[in-house]
Amino acid sequence: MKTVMIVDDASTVRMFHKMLVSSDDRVVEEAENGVEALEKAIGTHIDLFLVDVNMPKMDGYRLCKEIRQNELLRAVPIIMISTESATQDAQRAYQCGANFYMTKPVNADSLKSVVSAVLGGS
Amino acid sequence: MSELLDVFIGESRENLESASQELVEIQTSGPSSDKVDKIFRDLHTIKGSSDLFDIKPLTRLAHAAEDLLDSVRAKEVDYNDEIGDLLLEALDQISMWFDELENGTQNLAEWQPISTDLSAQLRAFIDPSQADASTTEQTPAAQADSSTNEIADSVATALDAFDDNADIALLSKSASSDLYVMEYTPDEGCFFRGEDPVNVALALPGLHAFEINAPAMAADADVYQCVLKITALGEASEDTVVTHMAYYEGQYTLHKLTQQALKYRCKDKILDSVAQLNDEALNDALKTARETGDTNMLQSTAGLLLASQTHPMPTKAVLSFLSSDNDLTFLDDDKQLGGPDDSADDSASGADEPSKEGLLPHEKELLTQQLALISSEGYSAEFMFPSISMLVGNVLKQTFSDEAELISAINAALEDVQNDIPEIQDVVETTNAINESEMQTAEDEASQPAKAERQAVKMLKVDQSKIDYLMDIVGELTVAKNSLPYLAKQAEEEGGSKKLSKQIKAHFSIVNRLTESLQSAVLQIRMVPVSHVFQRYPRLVRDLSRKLDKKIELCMQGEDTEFDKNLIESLSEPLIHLLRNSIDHGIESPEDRIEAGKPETGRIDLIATPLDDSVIIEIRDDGKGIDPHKIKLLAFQKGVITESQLESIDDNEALQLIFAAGFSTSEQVSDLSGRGVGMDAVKTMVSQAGGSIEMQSEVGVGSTFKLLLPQTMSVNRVMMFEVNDQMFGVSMDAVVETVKVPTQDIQRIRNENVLVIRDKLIPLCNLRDALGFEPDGGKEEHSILVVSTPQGEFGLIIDKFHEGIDVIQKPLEGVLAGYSHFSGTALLGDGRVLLIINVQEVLSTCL
Repeated sequence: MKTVMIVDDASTVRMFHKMLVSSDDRVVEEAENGVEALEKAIGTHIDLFLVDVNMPKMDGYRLCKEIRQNELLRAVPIIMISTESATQDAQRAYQCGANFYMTKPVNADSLKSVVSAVLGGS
Repeated sequence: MSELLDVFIGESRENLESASQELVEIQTSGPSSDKVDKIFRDLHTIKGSSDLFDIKPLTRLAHAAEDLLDSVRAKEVDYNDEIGDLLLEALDQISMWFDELENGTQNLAEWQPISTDLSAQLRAFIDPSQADASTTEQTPAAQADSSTNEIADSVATALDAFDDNADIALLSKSASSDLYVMEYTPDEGCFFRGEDPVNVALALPGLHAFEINAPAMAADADVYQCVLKITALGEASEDTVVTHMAYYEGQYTLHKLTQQALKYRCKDKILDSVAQLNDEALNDALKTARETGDTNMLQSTAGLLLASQTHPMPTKAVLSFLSSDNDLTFLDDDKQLGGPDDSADDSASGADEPSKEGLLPHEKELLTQQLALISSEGYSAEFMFPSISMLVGNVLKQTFSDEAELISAINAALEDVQNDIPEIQDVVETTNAINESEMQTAEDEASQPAKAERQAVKMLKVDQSKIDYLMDIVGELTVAKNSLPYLAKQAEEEGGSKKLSKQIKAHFSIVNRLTESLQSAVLQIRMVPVSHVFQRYPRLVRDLSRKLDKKIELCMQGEDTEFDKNLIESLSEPLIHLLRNSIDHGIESPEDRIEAGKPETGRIDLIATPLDDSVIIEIRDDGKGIDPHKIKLLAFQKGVITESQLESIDDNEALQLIFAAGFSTSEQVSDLSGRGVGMDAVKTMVSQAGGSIEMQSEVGVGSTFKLLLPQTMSVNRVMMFEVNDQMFGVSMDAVVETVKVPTQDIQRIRNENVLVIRDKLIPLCNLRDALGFEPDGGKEEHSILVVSTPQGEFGLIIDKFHEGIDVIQKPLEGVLAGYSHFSGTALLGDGRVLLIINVQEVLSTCL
């Protein structure tokens, strides 16, 4: 059983990503912002973070950094998903510790494949 | 409506509300980066979410608004009121679209032009020179004439990008005439946006073949920039292709192509291929087909040849085309058979996705990215190695102990991939480039601990109907617990057990206390701050004052005051009405104000103050005020008051006359307030909510409306009475007085029973008749309940008065819902059901 945490302030997007990512052998956790994500992640086992960039309270970049600097979470792969069209974003995401960067709206098949690949499924 | 769409609309409405609120604030207090940022974020969320639903017009509009705000945020564009107005218009439009989506009446075709128009207006602020660019971009491509057999030069050039066999291969496979050639030149900066041009092209509908053209790069070229040129050939309708490329508008040119045109293009190749095959039977069949039009022989011969041997790709394609198609008229143009061509031995087309080592495309991409990360300059093992190793390990089903091992494993897995796909190299390079200052900013932001934020209030969003249900249950519990005292009484009287009765009573006090706290807890849940309703008003005031050319400032106080949600929503409308009234009739025009020695800008105060279990809402304006004498006179003219009242009434009472039915002080009906519903409508709505309203005014100084409202509307006070041995209730708010009169005091005027109380004529209604009971003749004395309605006072003839009680009123449900005589039911402590009379309805049937 693998656990994916979806962090996005838009509940519509969370719901959509959840639909895409869900499967029989996966559990999906949701969080509205970085703060909530960290709170929930510590004390749970997470296998993958899907993180939005633009969020209130703690944005995606800071969340990435926090995850990477956290003893318990640092090995968890992070996929950043953003609608940002600013040129520096992918770069910044990678600097902050993301393993992969995708643009919203994600292609449903791409997201599924990437998530499967990261989780080591087929 | 799907659940997802439901959530989207609900969420987006909140975003819209908050965005327009901030916008209005900006218009009054000037732009601040905070506010612009907040609006940007709201629109960003709407845009991002709308993407999921394929509502293109909406997405485009939200996107344009977002881009404009981004420019404002980056100080590239100076904010002005014009921008604000346009943004508000865009928000309104989106909100209207949400209404349509919710009702299921949306018509995307109608939305399209509105969206295009508004988006262009918004974008014009970002870059005035490009005002129309986005709308015209695609037209030339769409104009390709589909009837001609000739292929335009530009299309021919595009087609030339392909191997010789790509066009003919498409010809042999295509089933329709919807063919296209697309030239796609991704933006230079597309990699930074996370776009993947190759995948975009690969996912094109009906893709048949595609070519990537990457020019040789100079040593000092900027490797972060995409210099690819992609040409794609496929079979799909123009619409589907345009939809697929919606996010890359302006980066591609689409050429339409008909099957016939493609045939003409391939004519020579077909003939050449046939000649080269040098098959006698085929040559003969082709000749026959061209001379007689009989293609049967040709088709079967070509089919046979195709099946019997393996041919190089182009020949195979020609054969399969000949075996399937019977329209060969395009070959009529004479051409020498024979003449070998060296194009025959070309290898397979570039259409197939290169697939190596059994890695899936996304796995490759992931691995490449990890490699890029690990070899980037700013790479820190402590920071990144664990996750990279975890990810790569998952993909390759291996474990790694150090970077070297990991890198070589990735390299082994990828091997040729990097040479094959040039743009991946770019991504690697991109990530290597680390901008020092960027890194520093990221560092600073990330190192600020989020401790304060972690203590933020946790909110839970709950469907309101769930709370209402809970409230209902609590209501029933309240009633159920009321039966305990009855039980105690029974135990004492019938069972003769004082001890049991005492125990029940003791228990009752506990249950009672718990129920009361439960009830107040549930009521607390339903409490929301009045700002919920108030926040809509600045916008309203701003819009109206502009329309009327008045300058008005709205000051709000006590927005934190809490109110029952249901109640507050029912109040929204009367408050709007009162505000409109103040703006329209209260505040004078700037010129008049200056003349009267007042500041040019009028002021309206909206104040909410809690008072015990009630809330006072005041709407105060510093306008011209209302003259009580004028009101008195008007009221008399309109027959609201009698001549004697005209004399006796004092100024304060006179002012309250504006709430009387059929009274409107404005002689001119304006667009804003005089919509035929006067202040009496406001008063009715307020009293329905269990509140009261009064008005004070001083000529030249201003007017104040004061609303006194209960904080919750869940508990109603009801007066009980009896008719035909049955209990009924009537809302205590409506009851004026109770009288007992001897039969002879009831008079008949024009066939109506009336009663004169203190010189006032009160029409009577016998509830026995109205409710369909047998008449009860021969009574000497009648009990009459005098009730007030917007139409005046009426008397209800009933059998017996009972006490007033607090009940929780519930609406009639099921079959009973159709009986408008009753406004609801309530449970009594002993379990009986009390029907509550809807006075207005009962009176309308009886008079």
